[in-house]
Amino acid sequence: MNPKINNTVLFFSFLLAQMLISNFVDFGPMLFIAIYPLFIITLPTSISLVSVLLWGFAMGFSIDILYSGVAGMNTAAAVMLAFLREPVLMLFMRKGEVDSQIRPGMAEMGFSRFLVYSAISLLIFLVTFIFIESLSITYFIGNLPRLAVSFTVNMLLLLLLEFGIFYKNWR
Amino acid sequence: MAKRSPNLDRLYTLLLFIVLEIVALMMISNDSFFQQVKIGGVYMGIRGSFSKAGSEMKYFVNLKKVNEELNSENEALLAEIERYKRYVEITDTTDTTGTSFVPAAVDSVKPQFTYISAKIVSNGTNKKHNFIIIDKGRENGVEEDMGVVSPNGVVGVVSSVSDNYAYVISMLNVNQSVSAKIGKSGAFGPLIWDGKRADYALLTEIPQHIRFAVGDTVYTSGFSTLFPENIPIGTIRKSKIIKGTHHEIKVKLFEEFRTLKFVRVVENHDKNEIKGISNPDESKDK
Repeated sequence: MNPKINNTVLFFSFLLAQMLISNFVDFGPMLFIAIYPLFIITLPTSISLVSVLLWGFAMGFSIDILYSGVAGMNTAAAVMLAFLREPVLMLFMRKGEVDSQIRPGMAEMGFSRFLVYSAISLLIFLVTFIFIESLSITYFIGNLPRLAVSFTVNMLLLLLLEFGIFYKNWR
Repeated sequence: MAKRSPNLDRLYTLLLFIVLEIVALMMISNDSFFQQVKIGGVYMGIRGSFSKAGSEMKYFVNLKKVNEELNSENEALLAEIERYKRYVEITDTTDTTGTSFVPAAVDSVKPQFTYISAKIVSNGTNKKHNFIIIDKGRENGVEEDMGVVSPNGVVGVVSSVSDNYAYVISMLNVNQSVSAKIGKSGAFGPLIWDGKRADYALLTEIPQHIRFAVGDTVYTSGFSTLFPENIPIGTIRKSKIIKGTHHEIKVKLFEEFRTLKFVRVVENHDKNEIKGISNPDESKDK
């Protein structure tokens, strides 16, 4: 499939899924469920950093606008994740893998490499999000339980999604 | 074609990153503008498809509870009417000489507060900044900075309005505070939400010498122009002393924000008058 069309389809699927989760799932304010970071961290390595930034911005912006909350928080976190994706990815990519059009997913990277890569990315995303949400360091320390809970649940969800939907189909 | 320097590329992406991040931060600081967008006509159309099914389903599941609530509210209102009837009768019978207090005709009395009932279109309880969208707007008389209440307590404050919808900052928003008092002693302080659980809030800045007991009811103080006095908000659960000077009291809210469906917007007719007294210079300017 044309990667551009593919990304667009994935973009809207993730957006729809995130909207449904945000509107129907409610575990209280301690748990912030976000599945769209998976879209940003598994964008193909062949596309430029500029496009990754723009995809991240588009995703965060759409979610902010379509969802009732303070506008801009998802955008800020998604752009941060998109910007830091490449340096993090560089830590885990083998020589030559970066230039080939691979999608940095579980099937391509292997379970353990993908686990660490996605964990670091998700942590960047959640730390940014929760930091911007409270806009101060003092609150931030009080928010550590929220970070821990959200990280654990989102990590599991992310791995399940990656394994269930993308692992087999992309092989 | 000459290849561009990779450093230049990096510079471009860094610039783009900074620009996008600034855009995001500007969105956060200009939130009122985006609230306006979010309740605008086109947006509500798109949004409706996402949230309507969910909210209708929740509504249907909770119909029984809604009915019970309405029923108990009706009963309370009936009781209050009876009380007033009785009051009028008493004042009439004592009126033998014509010098004592004669109550004015009911129609001519202008209440300080009137209510606009509204239905919740969209509600959230799973964030630190929760917002509610209600289906009454400027055309129905809703204005910015009006309080929103329900039979079980305080819901929030209107933040921005469009013609047919209003965006309400929920009580469950870490930036929101409501002036509240403890029923028995009358000690008052801001009631804030700490962002931890949807059914608890914190009553802060209560002086240390004030005595209260677990189970005491917390009411609105009526010191803000947003809410009438003595709306029950919740009961005291536990407290601790902060910095040796004041109590921080955990309040179990009566309100169940997850199942909330109908609310009333409070219209305070004396608002401008009160504001004029407290800020004479400002009101002159306006």
